[in-house]
Amino acid sequence: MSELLDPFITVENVVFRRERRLIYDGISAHVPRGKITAIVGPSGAGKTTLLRLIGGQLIPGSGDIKVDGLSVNQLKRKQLFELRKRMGVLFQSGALFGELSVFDNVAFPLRVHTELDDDLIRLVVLMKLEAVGLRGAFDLMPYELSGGMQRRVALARAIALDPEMIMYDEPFVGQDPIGLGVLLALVKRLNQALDLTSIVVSHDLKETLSIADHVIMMANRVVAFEGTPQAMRGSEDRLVQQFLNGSPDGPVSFHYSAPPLLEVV
Amino acid sequence: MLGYLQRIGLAALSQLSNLGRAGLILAQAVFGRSRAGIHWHLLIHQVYAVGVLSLSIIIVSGLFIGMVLGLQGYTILVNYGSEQALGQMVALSLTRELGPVVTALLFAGRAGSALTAEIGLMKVTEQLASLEMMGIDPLRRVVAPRFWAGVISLPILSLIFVSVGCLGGALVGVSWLGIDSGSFWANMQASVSFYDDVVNGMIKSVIFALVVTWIAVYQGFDLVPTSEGIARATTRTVVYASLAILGLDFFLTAVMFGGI
Amino acid sequence: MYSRRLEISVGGFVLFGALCLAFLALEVSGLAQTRSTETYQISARFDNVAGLTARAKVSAAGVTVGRVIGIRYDDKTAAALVDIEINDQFATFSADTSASIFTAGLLGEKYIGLATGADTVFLKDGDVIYDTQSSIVLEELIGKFLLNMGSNK
Repeated sequence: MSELLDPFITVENVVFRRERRLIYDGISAHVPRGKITAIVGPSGAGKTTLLRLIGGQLIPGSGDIKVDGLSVNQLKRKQLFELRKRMGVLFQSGALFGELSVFDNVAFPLRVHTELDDDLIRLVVLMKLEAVGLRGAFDLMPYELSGGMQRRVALARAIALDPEMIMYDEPFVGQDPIGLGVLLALVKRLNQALDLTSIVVSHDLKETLSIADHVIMMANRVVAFEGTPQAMRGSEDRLVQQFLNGSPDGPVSFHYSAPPLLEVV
Repeated sequence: MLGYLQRIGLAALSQLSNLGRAGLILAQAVFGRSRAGIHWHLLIHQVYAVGVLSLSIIIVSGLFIGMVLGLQGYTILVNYGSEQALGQMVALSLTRELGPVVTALLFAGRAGSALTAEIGLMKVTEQLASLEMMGIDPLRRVVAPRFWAGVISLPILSLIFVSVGCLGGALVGVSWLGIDSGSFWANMQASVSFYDDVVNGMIKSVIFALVVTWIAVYQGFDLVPTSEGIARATTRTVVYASLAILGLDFFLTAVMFGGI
Repeated sequence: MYSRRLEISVGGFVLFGALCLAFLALEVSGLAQTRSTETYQISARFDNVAGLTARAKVSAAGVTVGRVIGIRYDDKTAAALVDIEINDQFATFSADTSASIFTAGLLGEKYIGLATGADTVFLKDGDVIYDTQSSIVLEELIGKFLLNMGSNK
């Protein structure tokens, strides 16, 4: 079903190495337009790396990444910066500017990229903060907020310029159940209300699958599964099953490779 | 044997690529095309952080070094009956060497390490990455103002150091050891040349400022984004910057004063 | 946290720096005194200028009137030619002025002392002083002293 959806981002045969380690061995995937796509997989599978490749912060060794028809890895500096204005990113640590207030943080991209006057900026900032439920905190400093609230402010900043897509890098890490619920609801609501294409990278499987329309599972340097969450649950692939069930042993082995115990003792 | 050579070669190549990266960062920060021109308030904020906040350590150090020079100089010169030359000795030592060098060393330790830590922290908390993703060049916005603030502040701090030092030397020589105030200042004025000594000292200061700030900014920008990485980078900043200052000082002294 | 206080302290910092520069210029290096750049140039021929350096003081009756700006070897006369620039306000040195090389204090540097003579024509730009007294070389002095001692025996 998801193969028929209009792809906003396509990844074709991407090979990527960091230092000498091979991270991707020719992966292909696509992100459908206007839907929530989850990128899941074991730790160290390179999920965050994929976000960086899409955003043009890293260049693949070979292969192609297209965002809305544009090849990201071949864009010139100026064009890349223009493309990035259409992307919002929520970093794992929130990455708020510590010396600016909540209001100034959200206003930052508006002040840099637009010529709007102060009254209009104030209006937009308050609206974005309202969307994430933090309008009342507008004059607080980042260090006065909890981790979850910092993330929501960072989210408000990420949507300040009304981007067409948002990438969430591990947004649910370290959240209590309520905070988790709030963020989940926000991701879904923003995706619908602003007609966004959302990509959520997470290893919180249950929560992520509950809101995702399309799933890409990365493991062992390739795409282990791509499809709907229902298809994933019904998959007979042993790796996918191990991941879904959280079994300690299976295709992802419990033991780090070593010679048999009897030989060593 | 071959393995040893290979390791040396690899090390040399990686140092070369580090230098290249550092050079690119410098070039982009200083000469890169900026959207909005100079961000004045960013620059002023940085001059405050790097210059104004260093004032106390510079003034206290300058005063004490000037006073020590006065005391030590007197004990030596009095053996030759040349105490009147004390003013000249203190002033020349300060304007030509101690002023630019000691100020730069203190600057590297205080402001340089703070710069590295600040930029490093921004890297660790992904603030630099988020600036990039917002379509803003972090080099222009974060690195450039800090770079220019260093280049502006260090010469000013040097001037302050030298002035306070001369006053400290006068305090010891004239007020405490009884050298005639008139001959103290007159001898000093006769032997210190504004263009050859004071201005050359200022030129040294500007060059040190360039090098120290460049090292501090590069180390912060390029470090491994962990807390241990920040600690190592700040240490490296202080060590490399200090060595660079001392080495450059010898070279500059030879060029500026050896030729006379 | 950009505030007026910050702006003011930075302005004060720069001002303080400028004040120190002025202090250094006037009090430490005596810039004001040597500001008048109107000078004329003369030369003096010495048999021996050992110890004299460029930028050495040139004085008359103990008052600084100029500076040494160059020292050359003249191979036609096998003597040293010292180029001196004298401040324009001291333009009454006679054509038979004598120049001697003295030492300032025990550790001191060499300087040139000028003593004006009786001639009514004055030195002007480009003239040469021939009546000179070379610097005292310590070895020659000791040699002379030993010689004198020897001849007294």
